[in-house]
Amino acid sequence: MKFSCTQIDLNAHLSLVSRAVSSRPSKPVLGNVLIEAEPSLQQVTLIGFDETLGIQTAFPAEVERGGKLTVPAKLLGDIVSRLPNETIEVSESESEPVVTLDCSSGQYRVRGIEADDYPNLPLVEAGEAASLSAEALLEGLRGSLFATSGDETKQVLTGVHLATNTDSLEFAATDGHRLAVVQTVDADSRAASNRLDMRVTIPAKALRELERMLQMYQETEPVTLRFDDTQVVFELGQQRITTRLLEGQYPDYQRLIPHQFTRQLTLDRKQLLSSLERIAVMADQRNNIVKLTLISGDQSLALSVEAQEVGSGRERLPAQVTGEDLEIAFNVRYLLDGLKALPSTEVQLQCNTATSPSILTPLSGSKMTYLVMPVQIRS
Amino acid sequence: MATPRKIIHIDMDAFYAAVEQRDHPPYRGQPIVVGGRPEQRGAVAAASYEARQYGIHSAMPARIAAQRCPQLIFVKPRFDAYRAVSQQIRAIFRRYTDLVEPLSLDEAYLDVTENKLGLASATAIARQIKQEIFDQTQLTASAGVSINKFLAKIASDLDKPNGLHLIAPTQAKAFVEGLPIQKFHGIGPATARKMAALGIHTGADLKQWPEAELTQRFGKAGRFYYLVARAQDDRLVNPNRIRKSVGAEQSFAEDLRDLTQMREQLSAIAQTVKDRLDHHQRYGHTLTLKVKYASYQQMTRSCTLAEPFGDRALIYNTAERLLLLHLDRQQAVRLLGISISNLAQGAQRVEHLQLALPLSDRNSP
Repeated sequence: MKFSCTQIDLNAHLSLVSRAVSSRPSKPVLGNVLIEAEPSLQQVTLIGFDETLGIQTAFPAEVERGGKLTVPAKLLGDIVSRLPNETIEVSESESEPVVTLDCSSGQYRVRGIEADDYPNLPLVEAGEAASLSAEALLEGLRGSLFATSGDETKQVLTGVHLATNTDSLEFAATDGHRLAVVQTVDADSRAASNRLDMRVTIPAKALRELERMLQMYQETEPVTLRFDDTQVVFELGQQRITTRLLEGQYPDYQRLIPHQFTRQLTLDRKQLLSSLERIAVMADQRNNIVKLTLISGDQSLALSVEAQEVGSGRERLPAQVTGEDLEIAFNVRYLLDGLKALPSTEVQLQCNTATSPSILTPLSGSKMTYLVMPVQIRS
Repeated sequence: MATPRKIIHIDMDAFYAAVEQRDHPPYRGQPIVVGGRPEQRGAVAAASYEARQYGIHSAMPARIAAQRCPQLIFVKPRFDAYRAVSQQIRAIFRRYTDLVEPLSLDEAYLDVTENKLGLASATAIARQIKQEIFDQTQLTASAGVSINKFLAKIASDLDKPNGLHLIAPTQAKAFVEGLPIQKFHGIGPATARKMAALGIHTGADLKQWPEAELTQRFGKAGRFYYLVARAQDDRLVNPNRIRKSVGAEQSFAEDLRDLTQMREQLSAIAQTVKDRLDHHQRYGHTLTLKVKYASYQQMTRSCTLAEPFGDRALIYNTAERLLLLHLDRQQAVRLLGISISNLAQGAQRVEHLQLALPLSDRNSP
């Protein structure tokens, strides 16, 4: 194997696949990245895989001699990231599994492991495929990923549930205290996912990587998603990310969303966000609780925080309020998370009582429902 | 070494059960246990001496206790009553010394090397304390007197109930050498079995082993074993011991491989933990599951919730989830334990409660 490429390309693609390489691999070869040079395509492919999550990427290079080898991911990445921004020649020794990096600043040799020992990325061949625009995927992820549970004991709740509806793709995530549901509709997904029945729960860890890849994705080609019962693969041009699906029944979340509300308030999203960010400074000192008071008489929303032995704060925002006055408390972090993800200028907060689920929805833009359970204040 | 310390370990006899028998004459002379009922998958918190004759002991699942003794009487714990007695006995201790380290409601170490009454004989002090306890509470206690905590604790167990046992400084080394290994406090049945396999049956056998080898085979506990085999235990009686966690653990006579058995044990341990939280009037937000494998390798996994661990179901479900997630199925399990830390004082009265979504299955927190 022998090829040359720019330091920028090699570094960017190495750092991408390294995110799928475990820092504590179950066997040495899994601490490595697989490098494969293909002369006919004049292309170099890199793979990182931790047995759950796998990332593959490819970039153009001048390939003189084909071949493949695995090299310690961290070591190689730490060296390449410090090399000067110029052309780098990468070559494999004839007699032993060692790569040599040559550039103007000097030469580095890194011992690797034969590629034969490296597992293949799981393929999804028999499964079904859907095609989605990168924008729709990003929109779905932005509106749902934040609501997944970080507690690994909560199993399926650590992932985002993707399900096809008649004409949309639905993303749902919940940690047991709040629930975010996003419906995305776009031409690409409608055409290809026609009659496709998809219900999968994908680990948040893999989706965060996918989100990162989508943000850098330059092409207009839609993203292809292939899945079977245990595995999902997203293909973005030359890149692909694959992960094991989370097993287990995802909660039937639709039944949790109320459709009738006795109280409703509409207000400016950014104003509410700024007020809550100030309130949060105080609330973070104690228990994160913000108290909201809906006042229909003077069409406003009062926000207050009491941080015992630290201080307190209150604000009042104009709002269109219908229904009787209500005092309701929330974890301010939950409200902030949702408001940041909602895409519209104005948002609507709907509730029934101080102990039943409330929902936040955008007045325009994509379809998103953010349900938050309140904090019950006992006297 | 300087003059030896004078340490007393006081342990009430069958405490909860004895209080119930004192307050309810029909229970006297009867096999009773205090704790959860078999149908609640409860565990025995305390067994009367009559019940112990049937092989019933604390931390045993109530179901098994009921099998061993069909006429067994199950009594619901009254922690207020036990706390009241506990305060009475601690007041008695403090008449002699302020160096009192309570281990639980019914058990404490006292350092009487210097004491308020200027008495030279620790045995005499122990005898007086036992008498005062009986006069004030009509309950009996057993006392162990020796030069350190380890020996005092073993001594209090030797003549139970209503016992008083002295291990004098000059006897200490010989006593430990002659002590069967399973009598060592801190050596459970599983460790005892492993030691027996190594030819360690008594303190004298244990003393033959170099520290490095004990640590290699038994982990951190190895150093403790090395020291106590020499009758050494420098731990101070600490009156300000701040409780950082409340927990319970159970080692098994036979290593467990079967998940059903592990769940059953975990359920009983969860009940014990819940009872202990109640009687210490504490609640906490972090649960730690401890698993010791037959190989003596130990694993702990924790989970912190915003809501306190208040009821048995939450404690059990969380511990079970951690177990299923992290258990190495290739290995047999010799001990399971649950502890709750991140403690707050007071009864479990939360002012703010983050409400949870009613998710259908066990994913609801």
